Amino acid sequence: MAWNLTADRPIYLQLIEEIELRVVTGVYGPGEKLPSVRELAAEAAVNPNTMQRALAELETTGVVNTQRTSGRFVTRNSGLLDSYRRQLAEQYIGEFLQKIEPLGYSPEEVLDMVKRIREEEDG
Amino acid sequence: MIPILECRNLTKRYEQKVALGGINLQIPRGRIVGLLGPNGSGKTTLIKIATGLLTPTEGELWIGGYPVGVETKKMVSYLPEHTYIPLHMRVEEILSYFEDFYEDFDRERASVMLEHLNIDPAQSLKTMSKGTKEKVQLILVMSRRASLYILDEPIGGVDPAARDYILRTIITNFDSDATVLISTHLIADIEQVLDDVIFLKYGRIVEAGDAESIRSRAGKSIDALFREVFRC
Amino acid sequence: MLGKLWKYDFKATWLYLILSYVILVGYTIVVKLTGIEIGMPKTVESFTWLMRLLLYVGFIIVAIGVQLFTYVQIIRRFYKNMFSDEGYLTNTLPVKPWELLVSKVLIGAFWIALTSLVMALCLTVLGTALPQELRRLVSGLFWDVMRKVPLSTFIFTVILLILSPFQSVLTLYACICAGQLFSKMRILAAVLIYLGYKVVESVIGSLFSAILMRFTDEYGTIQLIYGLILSLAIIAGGYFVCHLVLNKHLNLE
Repeated sequence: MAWNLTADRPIYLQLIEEIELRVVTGVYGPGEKLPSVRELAAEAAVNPNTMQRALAELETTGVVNTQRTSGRFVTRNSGLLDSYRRQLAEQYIGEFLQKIEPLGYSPEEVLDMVKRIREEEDG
Repeated sequence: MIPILECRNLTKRYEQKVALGGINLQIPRGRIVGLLGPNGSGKTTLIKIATGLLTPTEGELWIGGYPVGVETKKMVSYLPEHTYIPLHMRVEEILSYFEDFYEDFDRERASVMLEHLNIDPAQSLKTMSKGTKEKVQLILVMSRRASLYILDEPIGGVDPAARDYILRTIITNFDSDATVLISTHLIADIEQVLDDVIFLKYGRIVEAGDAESIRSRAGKSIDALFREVFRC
Repeated sequence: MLGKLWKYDFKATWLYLILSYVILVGYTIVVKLTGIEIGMPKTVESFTWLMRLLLYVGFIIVAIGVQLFTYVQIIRRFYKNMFSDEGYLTNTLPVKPWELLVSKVLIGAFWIALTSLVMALCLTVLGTALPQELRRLVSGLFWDVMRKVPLSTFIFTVILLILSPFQSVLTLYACICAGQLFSKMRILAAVLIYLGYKVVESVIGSLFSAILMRFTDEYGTIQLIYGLILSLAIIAGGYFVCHLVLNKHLNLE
C-alpha cells in the first residue's frame, strides 16, 4: 500500500490516518508488531520525528501500544478496531453521498445501482 | 542542551554585496533542518562558514559549543554541491582516506551501501558517471557518525530514483543525537522529511520554525509558502 | 596527521615522476652503452659526430624536461588539492591549515631534491665518458678547491643548497596563494605575480651583488651570508603569505 501524503496539511495528521487505514484494512493485523519508527519513516519518506509523533498520538488513542523492550504492537482490542472501521466506512459513505446527491437519484435508486454494479463486477 | 549550531550576528561582506547580514540562529540536535532560499540568498555562504571554508566579516558561528576549527571539522560531515573526491583514486582508496582522517568513519557501513548499489570498490572514480560519483560521495558523508551533517543541494540534478535513494539514506541513517542540515531550493521533493525550516532571503532569515506548525498556520505546503515569500 | 597528509601527497605524485626518472636514467644508460666519448673528435666524421651531438643535446632536453616536469607536478598537486573542487575536501579535513601547508612544502622539496639527485647521478655517469685526461683535470680541480675552501664557506654553501628546494617551493606556493585573493582569473594572477616576483628578485639580487662585490673576500663569504639571509627571508615570507591566505582568505570557487 502506498503512503498517500500531501504537503499542504500537517504530515503527522496524515500519517495517523494512513496507519489507521492500514490497521483497519488488516495490512497491520490485530496484535501484530509494527516495523520500527525508522523503517516506517523510510517507507513513507518522512522524518522519523514526524512518524514518532504520529505513533505517539496513536498510542494515546489506543490503536497502538508499546511494550518497552519489544516494540510497538497493533491493539488486540477488536471493539476499538471495529469502531475505527465503522468510522472510516461512514466517512467514505458520507463523501460518496456528497458526490452523488447533486445527480438527483433517490437513496433506493442508489442502493439498487450499487447492488447491480457489484453483481456485474463479480460476474 | 547546547545547540549543535549557533550563529550570533554572523555577517559576511564582500566589496560589492552583503552575502550574510547579522544572522542569529540556533539549531538543536536531533533535527532534520531545511535551509531554504533561492540562489544568492546566502545559503552557501553560511555553509562555507560553518565548514571552515570561509571566514566571517563579523559575528560568530559555533558548532557543538566550539568556534569553527579542527574540533568542529571532526563533528561536521559535509556534502558539497559538486564532486569533491579526488578523481585519481579508486573507491577503496577514498574509503581508506576517510578512514585515515575521520575517526567517526564507519567503513563497514559504507561498504554495505556501496554493495547495495553494485559499486565495485576497485573501480576508479575517474571512470564513473556523474550520478554514481555523487552516490559514492553521499555514502562517504553519511557513513560518518557525525554530529552535524551539512548537505548542499543533495538532490539537485538527480533522477527521481536516485532522489528517493538519497532521502531514504538520510532517513534511515538518522541519529537522534545528530542534526542534518539540508540546503536546497527544491523544496517539494524534500519537505516531508524536514523537522524545521529556515528561509533565507538576501542574506537574512525571513522565516524560521517547525515545519508542521508552519503548515497548519499557513494552511499550505512549505513549497507553496516558499513560492509566495520568494515571488519575483 | 602530518604523516598521513604527506602519504597521500606522495601517492598522488610519485607515479609519473618516477617514470620520468626511469626515462632519464634509461637514456643515460643507453648513451653510456653506446660508448660514445665526449670531447672533440680527432676526425670530423660527420655521421658519428652528428650522432654524438644529437645524443648529448637529447640528454639536455630530457634533463630539462624532467626538471620542468617536476615543477609542474608539484604545482599541479598543490593547486588541485588545495584550490580546485578537491579543495572542498582538503580544507574541511580535521587538520590545522599549517599541517596541510607543511605537508605540501615537504613533498615539493622532496621531489625537487630527488630530481636534483637523479640528475647529478646521471651527469656523473655521463662524466665517466669524458676522456681520461679531462677527467683527471676536473677531479684535480675539484679536490683542490675542496681543500682550500674554509669550513664556513663549505657549511654556508651546503645550508644554501638544502634551503634551495624549500625556497623554490614556497615561492611557487605563495604566488598560487596570492592568486587566490582575486575573484577571477586566479591562475593568471598567480602566474603574473610569479613573473613579477622573479623580476624583482633578479633586480634586487643584481643590485646587492654589485654592492657586496666591494666587501667580499675571495670565496664570496659575504655574498653567501647575504644569500642565506635572503633565502631564509623568502622562505619565511612565502610561508607567511600561504598561511595568511589559507587561514583568513580562503574562498574556493
